[in-house]
Amino acid sequence: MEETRPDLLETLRAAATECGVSLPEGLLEEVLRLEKETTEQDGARGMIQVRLRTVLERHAEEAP
Amino acid sequence: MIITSLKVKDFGIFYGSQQLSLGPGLYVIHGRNGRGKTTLLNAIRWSLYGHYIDRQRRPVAPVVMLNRQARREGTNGFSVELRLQEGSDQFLIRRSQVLSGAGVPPSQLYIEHNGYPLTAGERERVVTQLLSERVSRFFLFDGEQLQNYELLLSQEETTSQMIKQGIEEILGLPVLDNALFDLAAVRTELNRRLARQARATQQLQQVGMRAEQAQSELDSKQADIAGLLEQQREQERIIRERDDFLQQYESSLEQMKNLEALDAKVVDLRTQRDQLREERADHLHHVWRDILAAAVEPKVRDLQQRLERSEQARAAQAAREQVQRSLLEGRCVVCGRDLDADHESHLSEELDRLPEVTEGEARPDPEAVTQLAQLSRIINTGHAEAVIRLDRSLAEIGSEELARKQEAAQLRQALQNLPENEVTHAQRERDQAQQRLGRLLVAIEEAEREKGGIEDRLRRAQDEIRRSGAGGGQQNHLSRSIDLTDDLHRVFDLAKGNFRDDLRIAVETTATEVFKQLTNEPNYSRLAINDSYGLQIIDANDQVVVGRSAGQEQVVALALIAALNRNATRRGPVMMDTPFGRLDPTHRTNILRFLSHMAEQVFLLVHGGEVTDEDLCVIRASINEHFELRRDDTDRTTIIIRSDQ
Repeated sequence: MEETRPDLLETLRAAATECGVSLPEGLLEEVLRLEKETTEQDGARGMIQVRLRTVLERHAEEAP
Repeated sequence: MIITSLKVKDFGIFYGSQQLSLGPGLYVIHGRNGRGKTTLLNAIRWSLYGHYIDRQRRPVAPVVMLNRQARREGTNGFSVELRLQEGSDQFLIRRSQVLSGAGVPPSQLYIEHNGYPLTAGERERVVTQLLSERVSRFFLFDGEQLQNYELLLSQEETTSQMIKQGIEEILGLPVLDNALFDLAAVRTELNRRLARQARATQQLQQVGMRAEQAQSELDSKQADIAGLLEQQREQERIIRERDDFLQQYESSLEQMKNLEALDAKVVDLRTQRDQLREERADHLHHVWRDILAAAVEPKVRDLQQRLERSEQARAAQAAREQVQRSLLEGRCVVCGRDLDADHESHLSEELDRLPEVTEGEARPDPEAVTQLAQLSRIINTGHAEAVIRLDRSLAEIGSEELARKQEAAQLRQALQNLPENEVTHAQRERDQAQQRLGRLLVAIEEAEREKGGIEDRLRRAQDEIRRSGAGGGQQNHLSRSIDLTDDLHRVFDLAKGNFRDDLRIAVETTATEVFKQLTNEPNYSRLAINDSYGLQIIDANDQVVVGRSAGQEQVVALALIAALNRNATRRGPVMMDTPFGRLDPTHRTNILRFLSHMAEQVFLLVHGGEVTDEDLCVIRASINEHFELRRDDTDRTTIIIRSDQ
């Protein structure tokens, strides 16, 4: 059978283009990786959110 | 992920320690009814999730799960051990249960990951990561339950919503849901920081306080909404559970309704019967008149004739008197004209023709009039006919009442084993939960509206803070972080809808491909998916096929499961218990041929009546191992490898 599953990262990139949003390079990949790693850890979202905020603040700081 | 070993010890029908060594590929586990096929499926479920549900969806007590022979020999515990391989990682999952005299303690779960034991907190998480219970229905399933997937075609059903959530989990949508949830939480934290920072700046103190106040209100409102949503889930759970319970008594409930209708009919017939009896008694009171009527009738006729004759005599006498007076006066007493000779001659002839009436004949007979009036009341009352008619109706009602009573008695007998109280209780609880759910949905809508208002206030305060630029570089950094969070939230939100649509198309495409391999109907062209992942069969004329048979339903469900496995983020072994129950030989052969392509590891649990050795010849080359569940005695089954490869 042929592989038909759509690629999530590609979908996110296309959505960014559709929204007219220009995101810092690597941010989408980083956030997606973080969420994929932790998607089943329903009870541990507090730590995940701290890590996510750190990622966002770093990218905000690096932004020109 | 595949299972590399399954070991059961004194679990159900499996006495002592018995082990299956496994690898990728197709496994056939053959056994007649009662040999332990479903027990093997349940052993895997129990080892992973710690509960064992029977076919009627009732929980099975641990004391029943212990092998009876082992119990007689004094054994007080049982266990199931699974070895799993996920990529290069090895997992050992062992669940054991001890039954002590004092009661039944919880079962113990032990997990090793690549040889290292996991802590208690990690164990449940690992099981969820490997194969969460919510999605296990797509891997470990009973063929009889495949028809549940038809519910997906009706998107309002609570069960269909639950299955849909499971499907989206297996397809990886929770990644996007979680990201959106986390981004919203990060945004809240950044909002707080922005407000705090503003409050610390003299010229922004007031707007900072407004922002903090709005944020605090927003937090409370969100907590309220979360509480309401929790209650909503709880009510939905109650409805789902009661529906599941009531479903098994569906036909009995239908019969109960029939019984109620019959009882009401019997009451109605009794009322009708009582009314007719009263009416009959009333008629019976007067029926003597009809009995006397025969004797009275000649007398009545005689009186009528007498009165008629008397009437005729009076008329004749009056006519004679007119003619005589006219002749005497030479003038017509009626019109007043004078009579000529012709008229006189004509009147004389008339006088001769009119009979002479004696005074007695013309005299009125009041006595006859009174008698006739009295006797007429006796005849023509119709009471006797009414009694006969009512007797006939009463007999008909009596026989209908008897028939209905007999029917009701038969139904009552059939419903004797229905746990009426439990069913009524479940119905009441379901109705109450439905009402509560309705009220909760209204409250959630209202709370969401209020939340929107608070968000507007917060946004206005934040805009004011950010426009002022009074917070310096730190505030600029915070503003950039907020903008980035908002941008990401928009992107993930849009991607979620798009990804879901793409996944649905992917599932539809794969399911169609599989369905075409499985079906023997050339007129079917494809499957079409709905928002809940329900699949409809579309024929060559692009029309939806309505009224699918149980067999077609099963084929569609298998196509959906295969498509989900193909498009899932996580893949696992597929174990099917008696999946061919409703299928004809051609479908059976098609599915057997397809099995080895369904997943990396497939277990087929079948009995001889379902799949014969001849059927298996078709797929012999693709069978990795063929096990047989051999009955040693009523309490013991042994798993043996069949040497017919």
